[in-house]
Amino acid sequence: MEQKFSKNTLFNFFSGNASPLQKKAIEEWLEEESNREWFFEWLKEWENEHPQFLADTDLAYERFKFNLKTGSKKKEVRLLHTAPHRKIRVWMVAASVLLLLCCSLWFLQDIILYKTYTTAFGQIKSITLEDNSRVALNANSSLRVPRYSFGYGDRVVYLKGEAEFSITHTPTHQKFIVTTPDKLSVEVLGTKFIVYSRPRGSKVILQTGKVRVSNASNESLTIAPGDVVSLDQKGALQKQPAQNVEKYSAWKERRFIFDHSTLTEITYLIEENFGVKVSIPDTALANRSLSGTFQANNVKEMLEMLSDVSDLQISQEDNVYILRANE
Amino acid sequence: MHKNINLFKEDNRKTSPFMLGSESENKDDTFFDNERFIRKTFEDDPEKGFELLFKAYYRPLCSHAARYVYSKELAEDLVGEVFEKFFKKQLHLQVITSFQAYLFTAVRHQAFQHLRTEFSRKKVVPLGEHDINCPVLTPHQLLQYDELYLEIEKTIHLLSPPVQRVFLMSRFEGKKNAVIAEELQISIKTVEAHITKVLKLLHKVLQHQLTTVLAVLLYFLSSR
Repeated sequence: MEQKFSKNTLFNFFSGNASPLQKKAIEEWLEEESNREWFFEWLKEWENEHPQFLADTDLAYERFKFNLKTGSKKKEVRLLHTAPHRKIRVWMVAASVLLLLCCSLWFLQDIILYKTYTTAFGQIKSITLEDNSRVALNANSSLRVPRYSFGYGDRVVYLKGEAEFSITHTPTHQKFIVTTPDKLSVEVLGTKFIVYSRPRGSKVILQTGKVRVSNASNESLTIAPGDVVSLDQKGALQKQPAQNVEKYSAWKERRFIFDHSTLTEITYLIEENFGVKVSIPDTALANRSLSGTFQANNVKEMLEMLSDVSDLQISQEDNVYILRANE
Repeated sequence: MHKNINLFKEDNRKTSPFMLGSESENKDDTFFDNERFIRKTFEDDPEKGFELLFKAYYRPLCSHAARYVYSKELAEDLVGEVFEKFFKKQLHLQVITSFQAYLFTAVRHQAFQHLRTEFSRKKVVPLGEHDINCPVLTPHQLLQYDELYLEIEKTIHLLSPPVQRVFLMSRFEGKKNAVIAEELQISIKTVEAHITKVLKLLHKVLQHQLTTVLAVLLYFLSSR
């Protein structure tokens, strides 16, 4: 078998200087399998003589052995300098993963950072916090307490619904702060008070001690026992001094104290505590007021009691109780 | 199509094609000796054999891979992968051609795969890996790989010198755009524009070229 080519011809070909005829000849020459070995041998020689760059063999070998040993196969993203559309796609994927992560963290942050106590309709819960302060949580309410930071600095909790707080005074005089969805904030050192915060408004009822109440616009009031402070429609603080505070805490014993309460107010109360809608189509009836102390453990007892004292007729349509005056 | 040629066995030596060479026979004898030495070492101590193999071919293989991918880093990665496979699959026991023929072919294959993932617009269906089970490439297929890197080289040669310089600094040397801008005293915007220009051009050229190579290779794969 004659070798038709000198190494030079092949080198010319590798360098892109072979004529089409030479290429054709090389192709024919390569038909012989053994010549292919020569092809690669000369390719290697050519690369050694005309290197594109000189890779650091020893370093590469060390790295190779190291990767084998640690099993850490660096699978980095190889598309370093890729076309714009791909780059954008990679970035978009990265961005959306990040966004998803942030979203889920944002959704989870409540679970991660806070412990939340909730009560169902008709349920009352008694909670003792880490600082031994006690909280009675009324029905359909939730109280969010920081998991990790509670007890360091200000003790801040978040209330939705209604609760009575008996706050211990700490040796270091740490403030205890209750905040509500409508930005009412109650700041105390150690005392007993009730916070009511439901869709129909927010109120603070002070039983003993001294508290400071402030609203979203940072107005604040210091109140004395017996005072009731509520947020009005515009979010301003309204103080009603020297009230009978007992009626505001009666729910703890499942009692309802009405003091010239209209039937409409009572229907709100029922909805808040038992999650049941009550409708009074007759406005005159709705404005009728009621006084007295009642005990009721559930909505049935409550409604029966109401119908007894006010001579009402109760019917039910699609989960709504309708109160009408008896003819 | 592929006869099992045990080039390096003693008893085959007489029929070995390398011995049939004409005037260069003695001069190129070093090549067999080199490969034979590596093979022999593999028999005694595979680890040592592998080290010799790696150190003998890593550099020319990287240089060759760089002709396709135009990046030192990528070239070294591709060659590293080929060696890793060689090591893990104990290919020294299976390769029927010379080691260097296998290694060069595998690197070319790997580089081609890479170019496809990087420069094809369509989603790339990965080709089967090049391995020792593939029959030896036909001459046409073999040369097609050369045409591919020659085409890429030609494309880059046609670039204006400033664009070419920026492209090589960015891609080949892996420098950050800001660094290039500072070294060449031009704005980052210009650097970006130059690089985008080259990549667009390569895209255009490679669209055609990659399809051709693929067609040639697939013909070979399906005719197995």
